[in-house]
Amino acid sequence: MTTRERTILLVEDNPDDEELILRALRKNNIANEIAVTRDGAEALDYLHRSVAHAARSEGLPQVVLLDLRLPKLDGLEVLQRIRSEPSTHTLPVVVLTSSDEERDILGSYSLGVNSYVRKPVQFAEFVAAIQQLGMYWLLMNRPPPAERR
Amino acid sequence: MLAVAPLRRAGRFDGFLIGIVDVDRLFGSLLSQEERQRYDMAVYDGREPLYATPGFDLRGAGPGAVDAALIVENASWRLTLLPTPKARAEAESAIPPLVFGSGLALAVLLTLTVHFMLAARLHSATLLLANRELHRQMQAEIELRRSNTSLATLNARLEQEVAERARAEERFRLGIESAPNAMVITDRQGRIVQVNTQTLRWFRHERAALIGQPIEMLIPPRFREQHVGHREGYQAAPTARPMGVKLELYALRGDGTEFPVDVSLSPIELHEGLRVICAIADITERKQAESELRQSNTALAAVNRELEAFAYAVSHDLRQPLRGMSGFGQVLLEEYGERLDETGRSYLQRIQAASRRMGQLIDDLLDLSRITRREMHHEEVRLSELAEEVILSLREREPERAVAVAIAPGLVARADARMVHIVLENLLGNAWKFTAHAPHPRIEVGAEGGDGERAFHVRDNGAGFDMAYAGKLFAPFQRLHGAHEFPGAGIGLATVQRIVSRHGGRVWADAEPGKGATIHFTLEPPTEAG
Repeated sequence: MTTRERTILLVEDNPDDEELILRALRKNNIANEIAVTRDGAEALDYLHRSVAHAARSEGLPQVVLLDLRLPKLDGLEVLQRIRSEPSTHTLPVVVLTSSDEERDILGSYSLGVNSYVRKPVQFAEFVAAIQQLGMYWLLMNRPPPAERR
Repeated sequence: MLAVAPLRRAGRFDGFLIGIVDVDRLFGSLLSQEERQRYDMAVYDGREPLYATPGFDLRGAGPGAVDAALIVENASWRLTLLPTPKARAEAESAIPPLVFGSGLALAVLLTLTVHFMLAARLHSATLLLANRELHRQMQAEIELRRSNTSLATLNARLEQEVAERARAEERFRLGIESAPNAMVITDRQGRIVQVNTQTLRWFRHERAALIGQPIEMLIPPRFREQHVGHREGYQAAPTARPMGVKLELYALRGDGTEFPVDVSLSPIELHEGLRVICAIADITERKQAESELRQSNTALAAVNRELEAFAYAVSHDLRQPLRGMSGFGQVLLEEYGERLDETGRSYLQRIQAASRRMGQLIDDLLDLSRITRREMHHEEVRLSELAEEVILSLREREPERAVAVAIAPGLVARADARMVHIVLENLLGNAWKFTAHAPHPRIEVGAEGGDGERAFHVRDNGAGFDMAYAGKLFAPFQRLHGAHEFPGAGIGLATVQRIVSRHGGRVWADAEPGKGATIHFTLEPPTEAG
């Protein structure tokens, strides 16, 4: 499996942020397929291939970019479910959020997040952040073997 | 005749020798059988006859009677001889009675000396005995008098004690009566023996209705059974202590209403037995105040939660649209910039700049709200070193600026290090900023004041400000300079003030336009002693 074939799961309810993130990823020449889910429940459906995502092809995404403020299940709940289930236990998750609150940062890390990134307001910085994220998680980081099943 | 002679050995009195002397044999042997027919004889001690022959009768005394004085130690004895009728008849042929009498008397004297000595001794021994008895009696008398005196003293003291006790009891009664609390005294069986007037007022009872009744009548029925058990437990080990610690206690009035109370118990041992003094305080007002305080605390907590939710919302939700504005402005500039003229492009850049500034404002606001909410960790903070660090980062940011900096060494305070760092960042950042136009910019960090109130200060020779506006200085978003002169959100000094006040300290400013400003601050409450 090459990185080009691996999917990025973006969990983001704001269409502006979604558009800007997708644009930033494209600007950084990241060609991976990007699956977008718009609330926490849908994100879990995607990972478990159920309901609307029952038909998707097998395999887990290379990385999950997870917003915290989400409808239905919020980001921390989604993270907690991902970590508590054996099939997604080791899935790399990056929290990508506006929040700079200590409780969100601490909460994310204590639930086992792999990285916590605050979305910069300035687009230029935002693009730079996304570029670095993509580079790191898609190219440099070696995913856990459990994911290869 | 009883003879008693004192026995002395080496001048020490040893006791008495008591013997019985047969007077008849003693004197009787003086006259022979023949002479006894001629004379009757008697011996006198003064007028008291000691001995007389059976026929002796003074009334029959006639011529030929002989009287001889016998000088005995301490006594004057007399020997009298009377011639019997037979002797008178033989008068002519007999030895003259006078001669006979004298010889007899001498013989009596010689014979009796020993006896009389003995008798005399006996007499003095008797005296001694009497004397001793008298002495003993006198001693007893003295002893009695003495004990009478001490008895009187004792009596007086007792009376004094009784009076003292009466006064003490009166004081006790007055103390009980004048106590601000309801005072109820119970006996070992838990019956009321004494109450003060406050009790009658609070419990709405007549005194007569309470005395002799079990204390439980002042307790709501639902607690009574339990109380009897507690009371018996207390009686077994009575100590002065509050009753029902951590329990809500209620008292029952005569009219059936209840009121919350605090009760403290003290045992007191009186001559009539163990008594327990119950001091009962009506805490209705305190309870009310507590409940009000609880309510306002709850309200405050709700406000705090709301504030936190607000800050959280600001953190997330206000930034998102800003990101949209900035992001799509950038996209527009990149993708469609060629279709806009110079003015159009500069407007897009202004949108970018505005969103950037707003982003900064939101961050400052969040910092301020975090400082209010953040938990404090007190430790020893080295202000001099922190100030050096801050200055270093300012110099790195603007290496072209030449600012003289003087930091007093060894400045320390017990405070939250992170917060003090923010204070210094703000104050030194301001000093750095406001000396931008000064010809010879200079910043000083120091402290003044001793044990009472140690105040630190950051001084600059920059723009300063008019002290007329000093009151506005520490309010959020208040700026004393136009944005074109000095940039800033007006949040820095508000942040400083909030940190300082969380430490219990205060912050104030000295300034003059064009000459500079000094911001003073303390990091602890002023001490009483100074």
